[in-house]
Amino acid sequence: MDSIVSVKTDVSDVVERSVTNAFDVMFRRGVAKEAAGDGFAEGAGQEISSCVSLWQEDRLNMDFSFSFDRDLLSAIVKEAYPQENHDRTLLCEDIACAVANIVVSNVKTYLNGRGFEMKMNIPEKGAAAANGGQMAYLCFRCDPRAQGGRILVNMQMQDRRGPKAG
Amino acid sequence: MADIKISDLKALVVDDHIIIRRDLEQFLKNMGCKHIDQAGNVNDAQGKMSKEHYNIIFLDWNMPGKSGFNLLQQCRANKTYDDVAFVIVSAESDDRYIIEALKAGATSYIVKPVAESTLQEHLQKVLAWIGKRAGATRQTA
Repeated sequence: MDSIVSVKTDVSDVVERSVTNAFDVMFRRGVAKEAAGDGFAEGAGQEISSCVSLWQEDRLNMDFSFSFDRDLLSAIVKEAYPQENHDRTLLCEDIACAVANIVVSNVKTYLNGRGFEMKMNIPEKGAAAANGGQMAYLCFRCDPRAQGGRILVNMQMQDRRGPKAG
Repeated sequence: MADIKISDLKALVVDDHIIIRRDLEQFLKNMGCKHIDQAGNVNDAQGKMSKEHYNIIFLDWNMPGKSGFNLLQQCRANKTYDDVAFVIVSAESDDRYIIEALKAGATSYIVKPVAESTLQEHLQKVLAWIGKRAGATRQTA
């Protein structure tokens, strides 16, 4: 089994491919990775978040926090689900969770293929950001010509193993 | 083998995500399916299944509460559902999950996100499976 740090770049690649593919297949929208900028302004309500965790028993914890531009998800809901009777905010949160679930499932498949036995926690709507060591911070933009449309993915890792004896 | 048309089928879509249920329903409608019900969890699905005999059930694997895989196992142990096609629609893309689902009696397995063309391909195979089952049932009767 590789060390988790050595597969960091590969995990970022899996996240990038999965986010791009999910937006393409589900909403027919192009997404491009861009240089990581600032996060959404705290408390301004600009984003809709979801968080999914992968864990390896007693050893490793990986938290994936997704922040989606609220206006982007609202536009998708308006365009793709005009007849849907559910509350619009609920649908936006549902999209955030569904995308996070798909992306992190792909990461889990990748890591388990490399010998990690990771398990996934079902995403929680509006879950708080994770608090581990920073692993990677990825920024995407849906429709790169537009001002908004940002998608941020913050990956954090906690190695719960103590220092090796001897 | 009996000739089964998609317009004759009664379908149930079970997923905790509204948008996934909505997408699958729309794709099925586009393909000509007229009777489609939705359930947001396994309990809701079981309630609907007790009142209606569906020909095809689309099941998410991971859902809060009982899992879709659990429902599949339960149904495959019950002869009432011998002629029902179960299609697992899951974000789990690991081969081990796919093999486990097929071994447990899933008719097909689709990895999310689901494109309409992918659903159509799987549905052709599922229709053939339902036709075979219907033919076998008629011969036995």
